[in-house]
Amino acid sequence: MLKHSGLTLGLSVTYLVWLGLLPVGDWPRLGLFAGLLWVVGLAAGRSPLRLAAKSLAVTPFSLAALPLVFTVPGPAWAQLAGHPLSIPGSERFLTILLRAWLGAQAGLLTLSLLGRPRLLLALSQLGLPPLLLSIVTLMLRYLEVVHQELTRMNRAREARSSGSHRPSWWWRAAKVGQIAGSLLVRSLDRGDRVYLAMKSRGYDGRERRLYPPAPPRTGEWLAFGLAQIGMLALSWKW
Amino acid sequence: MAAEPRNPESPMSLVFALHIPDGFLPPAFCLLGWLLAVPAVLWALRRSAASPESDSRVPLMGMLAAFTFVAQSLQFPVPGGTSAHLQGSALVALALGPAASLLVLSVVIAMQALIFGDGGLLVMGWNIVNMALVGALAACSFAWIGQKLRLPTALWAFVAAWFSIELSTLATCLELAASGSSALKISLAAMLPAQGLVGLGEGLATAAALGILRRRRGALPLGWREAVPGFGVMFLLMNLLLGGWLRGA
Repeated sequence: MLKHSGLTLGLSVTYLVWLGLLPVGDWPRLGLFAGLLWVVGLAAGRSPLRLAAKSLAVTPFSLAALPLVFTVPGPAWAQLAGHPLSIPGSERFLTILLRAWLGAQAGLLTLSLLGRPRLLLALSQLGLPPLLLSIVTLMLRYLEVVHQELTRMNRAREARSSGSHRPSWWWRAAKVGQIAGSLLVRSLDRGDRVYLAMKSRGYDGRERRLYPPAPPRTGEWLAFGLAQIGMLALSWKW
Repeated sequence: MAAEPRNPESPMSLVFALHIPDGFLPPAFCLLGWLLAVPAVLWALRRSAASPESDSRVPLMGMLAAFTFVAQSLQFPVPGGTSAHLQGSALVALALGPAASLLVLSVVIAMQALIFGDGGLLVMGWNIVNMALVGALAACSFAWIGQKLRLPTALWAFVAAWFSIELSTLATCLELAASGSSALKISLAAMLPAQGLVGLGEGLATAAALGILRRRRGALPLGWREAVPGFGVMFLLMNLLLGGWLRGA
């Protein structure tokens, strides 16, 4: 198993690239890519069932592609309320859905293997510019805080908006804006406090580590290379 | 590797969502998106690094990235019974300026693709171009005009956000047409009016958010230097639109 953070993230990214290059409706190869991911998950001690279930949460993002089922021309396999469900459209939709689902599983597996500190180390080892790395670092640090703040504000809004009267859509859109504005102001206030705290502790934009991370070993390079050859073999049109 | 089948109706799937998923555009065309996005991000990195207050703005940029990530989960209703989420490009651009907002939005788009599968890795270059480059730069240009004309903040913020959504949509339509995935007329007719309705919600939300921000923290003055890149992008988009129209794409 790869111990080097950069190579682990690199493997995950190349998996997503190979997955994205798979042709539409090639179910056997999509199955092989899913199998590969689950075998790696099992070898790393992560339950594939759990990964698959957790990743179902991202499928709503791919539902934007649902109209393809109705709009792509081609022979129909069924009718829904008088609208034909086309075979090519369904294949495209299912491929997009499966890719997103497997991609999310790969992302979750990588996150669970690396954790936040090693993910940031991996990004720096892959050559992400320091400024972007700093943005990612702070973003990951504050994501939970901002999300909790938003949950509290949403709960308060729901409590204030109870009743049978259904407000108009523009009123609700403006309220979303006010929530976003308040959230933004609170976030910025917090950002200022954090910056002052960091500055007082000697922050000058550079990341410092007690021990420099070890470079990848030969065996790790070999495993990475073999994985690329394996994914190429799975994607190749024999 | 077999090419993706072309289909003339695909823009219907992007009517209320600007994140293009992997599978919509051919892989070779995705490479072109990266060739546009990478220099844009490098330009933004150089501009941000050259700024005298660059290190003091980093925590702010990180916080705004987290904010945008979360704000995109805020749904607002669209007339007609459906809903869309806040895109946030205009809001971040008007709060930070074009270069810093391009970096923040690129990070958000990348993390959404890597962690949530929202958008795709291959097509991420085009998603950065559409939302971070076109959306944010155009918003700054419209906001600069509004400030020059001394219009009320709510009005120019609304206009900037609405145009940022519409121009992002126009860029998406042009990409779908250029990649051969859909005819330009079909994608424009399907997406521009629908995103125009989404833009109304985005405009109201941005105006309200920016109003609160300006009351609490003062104004972010935009100079012509911040406005010029957006005008350049809009000029390019209009030329491409005209070219596509004349060719009958």
